[in-house]
Amino acid sequence: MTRLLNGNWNPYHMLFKLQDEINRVFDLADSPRPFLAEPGASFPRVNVYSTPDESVLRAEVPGVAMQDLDITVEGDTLTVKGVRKPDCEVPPERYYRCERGHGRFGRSVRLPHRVDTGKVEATLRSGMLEVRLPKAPEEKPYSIAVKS
Amino acid sequence: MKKENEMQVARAAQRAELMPPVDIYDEGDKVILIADMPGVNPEALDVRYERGQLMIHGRQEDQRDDGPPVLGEFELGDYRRTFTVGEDIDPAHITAEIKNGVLRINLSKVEARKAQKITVAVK
Repeated sequence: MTRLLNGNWNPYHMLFKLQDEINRVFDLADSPRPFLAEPGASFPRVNVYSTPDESVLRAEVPGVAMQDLDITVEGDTLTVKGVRKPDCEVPPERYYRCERGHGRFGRSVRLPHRVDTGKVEATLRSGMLEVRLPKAPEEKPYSIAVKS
Repeated sequence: MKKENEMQVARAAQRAELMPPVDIYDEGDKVILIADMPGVNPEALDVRYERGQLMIHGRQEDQRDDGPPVLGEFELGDYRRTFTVGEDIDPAHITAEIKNGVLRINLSKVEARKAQKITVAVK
């Protein structure tokens, strides 16, 4: 499809764009096994909370085993990578519904502070990952003694 | 005490209604339903069959308060979804288990059970 008929803006451009978006949605619905790392997919979804001492990241990783997760911290950036294995290999014609997806995934999150990398703790419970990320010592507030 | 109750009500009202994504496929003698329900423990799961409808409900575990969110992509809530079950499924033989936040339901077919019975009779 020609998006720009003469190289300049034209009123059909938005329509074509809309058509592309609609096609994309239907393509996704047709694909037998959606892959988690597809553009636009955000897996896992994450929440990050912050206190004066640490940040806590929670991510939804249903069906992912701890040994299939790779968590790295560099400076103020946390990266969660992993793979979700398919439950079984069933030919596409046997599927009534296919909404979950499998494959490789990865997310990077920038935290509001640098991390004390030696003290990071990760736990996985019922498909919910929790990573506790203490602030690096140089980031923590400290009080200054005032001489009288 | 009253204030505490009010707070509990307010907290309950905040919980989101969530629709779990599912895979459903045919394994010949049974149909398998798999649903992503992260944060739901076995004791917080309710699967019931009633007049041709299979209802799944799972409550996500409350998380401890870790300060204000700086990034929020999901909210905690209750997973709910209802499915219409075909007549070829035997309602008396539906089993469910949840592991690592993934619910798996086995729905055995009536024909498969009948076929099994015939095999036993021949022996």
